[in-house]
Amino acid sequence: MSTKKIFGQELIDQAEQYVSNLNGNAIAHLKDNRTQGLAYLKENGFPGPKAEEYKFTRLTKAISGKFDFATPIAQGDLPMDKIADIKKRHAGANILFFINGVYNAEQSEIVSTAEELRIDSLADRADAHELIAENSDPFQAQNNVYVNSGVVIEVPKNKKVAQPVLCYYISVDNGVNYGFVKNIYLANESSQADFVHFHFSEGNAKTFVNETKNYLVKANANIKLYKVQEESENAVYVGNTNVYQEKDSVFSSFVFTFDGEVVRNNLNIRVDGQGCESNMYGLYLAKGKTHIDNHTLVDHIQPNCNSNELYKGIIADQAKGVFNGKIFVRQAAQKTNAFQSNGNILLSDNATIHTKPQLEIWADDVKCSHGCTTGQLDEEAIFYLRARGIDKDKAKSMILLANAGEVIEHIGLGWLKMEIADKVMERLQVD
Amino acid sequence: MLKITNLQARVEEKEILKGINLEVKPGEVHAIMGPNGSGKSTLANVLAGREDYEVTGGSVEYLGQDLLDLAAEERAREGIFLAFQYPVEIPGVTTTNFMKTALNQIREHKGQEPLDAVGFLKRMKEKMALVEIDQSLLSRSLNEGFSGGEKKRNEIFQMAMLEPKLALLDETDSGLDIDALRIVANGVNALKNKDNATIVVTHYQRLLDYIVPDFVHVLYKGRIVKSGTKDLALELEERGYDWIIKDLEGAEA
Repeated sequence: MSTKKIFGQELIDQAEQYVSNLNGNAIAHLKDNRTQGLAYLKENGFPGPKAEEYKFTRLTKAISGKFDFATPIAQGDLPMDKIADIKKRHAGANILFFINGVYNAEQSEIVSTAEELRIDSLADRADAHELIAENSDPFQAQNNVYVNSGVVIEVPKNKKVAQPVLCYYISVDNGVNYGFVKNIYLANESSQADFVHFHFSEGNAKTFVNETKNYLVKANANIKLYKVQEESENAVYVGNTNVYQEKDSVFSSFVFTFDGEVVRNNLNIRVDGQGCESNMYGLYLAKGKTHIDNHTLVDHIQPNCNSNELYKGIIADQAKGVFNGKIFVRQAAQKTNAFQSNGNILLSDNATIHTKPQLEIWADDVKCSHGCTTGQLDEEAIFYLRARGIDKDKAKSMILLANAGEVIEHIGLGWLKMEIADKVMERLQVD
Repeated sequence: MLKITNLQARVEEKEILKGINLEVKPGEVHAIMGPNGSGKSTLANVLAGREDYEVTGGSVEYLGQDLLDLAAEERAREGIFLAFQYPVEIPGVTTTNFMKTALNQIREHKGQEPLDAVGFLKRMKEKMALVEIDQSLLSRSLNEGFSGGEKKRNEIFQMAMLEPKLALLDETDSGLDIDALRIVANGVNALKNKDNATIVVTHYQRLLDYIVPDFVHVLYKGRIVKSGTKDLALELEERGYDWIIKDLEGAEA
């Protein structure tokens, strides 16, 4: 009999209730995933106040007692105006809509041919359960219990998806105010694609989204993932991005977080092949009481791979930032080059950042480096700009924008680069 | 152009300038020399508007205005330029972009239209030649990874771009080899005309072989204790500062 204290009992009870309420009205081939997820939660519970991985981000507390998690999920009414706007803005791109986590095939627009892009509902892919990550994180397990909607996006061998694939995740309180979604991205050998994920809230209601992206990047494939988060100040978000890279593949992740009440991004990259490159970029601008947490892990299993990581934060008011970057270099992973950097600027005395690099290296012939800096705006730099005639506010915003620019400049899609730069400038009040 | 009367300033609790008097007219070059810690750099920085220093007394009149009343950026827009002893590295801001922003803010202040791209590039090219600075350097992050000489040349390039009325060169020669020094000095000399003035703060007489001053002032313990022509600098080179200090202390006793 275990004496371990289980936290989040109410959430576990709700999950159990949810599964029985499904009453067979669920994707049959995901049954094992539900069962195993629930077993994991019963065994381990949700993270308590001292749980190492969640000690700065009290997600259990943020969602307990605030949502009716026992009720089966529905997408509710659609924010049609918003959907129309988005379609107009991105005419010519592939657009997929997820309202409160539920995939809406009818509203989605696929412009690419089936030859270069294949999209199926999770329900239609009997092999989907094999592509679902294990339950190594309580929210991952919770996602596995609840997920009943999502897609498998597959890029065939040797194909390049010419148009980017845009996924819009809209949180809205339309009678339902929470969602669980899981999408699976299968990039076959030597394929290439850009995926852009927009996460935002419609209105200011209390919402919760628990989302998973699983990327299988096969040999020699090149995949870019962009994630843009603009949730409302009452939105709680937790996302797990699990990436599995085979030999000679390139995977690049960009995460831009602007708003939200509590946002937690887990990015786990398992590099299980030689000659791989993994890039992780992040930019978070927090204000008000927003709490933004990025946990990343790159696990080097095979030799001759490179990983680069650059996360930058600008934190104002009473906002909080958390960065934890794990780099594992297994014994076999000789000749690994792994670089990590996290830089933060705190704009107020009440802004906080918790930053922790975590390198665990078992191989002996590797190049690894990490660095983190936290500071206020550099007064010396501001004076330098002012001494050339630039006013104080402009000087501040120039320095902040330059800081953010170190991440933005790596964006490969021109229109997205401009869009992100505009958002950052607007936030930093640069004209 | 510039009239400093009994200027006193301190940083935190430490008095550094204890009553400076100095008048600079258009077309003149003044050199401020003195041993370490005498207040030379402080004077240049106070004039440029650095807020770390607190002015506790005296006045500074510049082109008929109370200079101490102006913020650092306003002083720059009115034609004051400080070449930094330690130019700041600013990642992500290129010199080109920096100069474009600065020039246009100055022009806006003067009620002028922003410089168009062609006009700006023309001006850049012209001034680059003056300090033998390469385009590639200006497209890089400001001063980041620049050598000491490149940083100082970049300062003079910026000065050339902004065409100040009063340039303050704060130890611009420190750490430069002769070739770099010559380039920097040539730049400064080329910018000189009858309407602008230069104050050169330096520890070494060597610079004054290249930028020939009309007046040399010796600063000691926060006061100008001796003024003369360029011959004074040569004498200082020969005899050091001790004889001035001795004379001074003798006079006080």
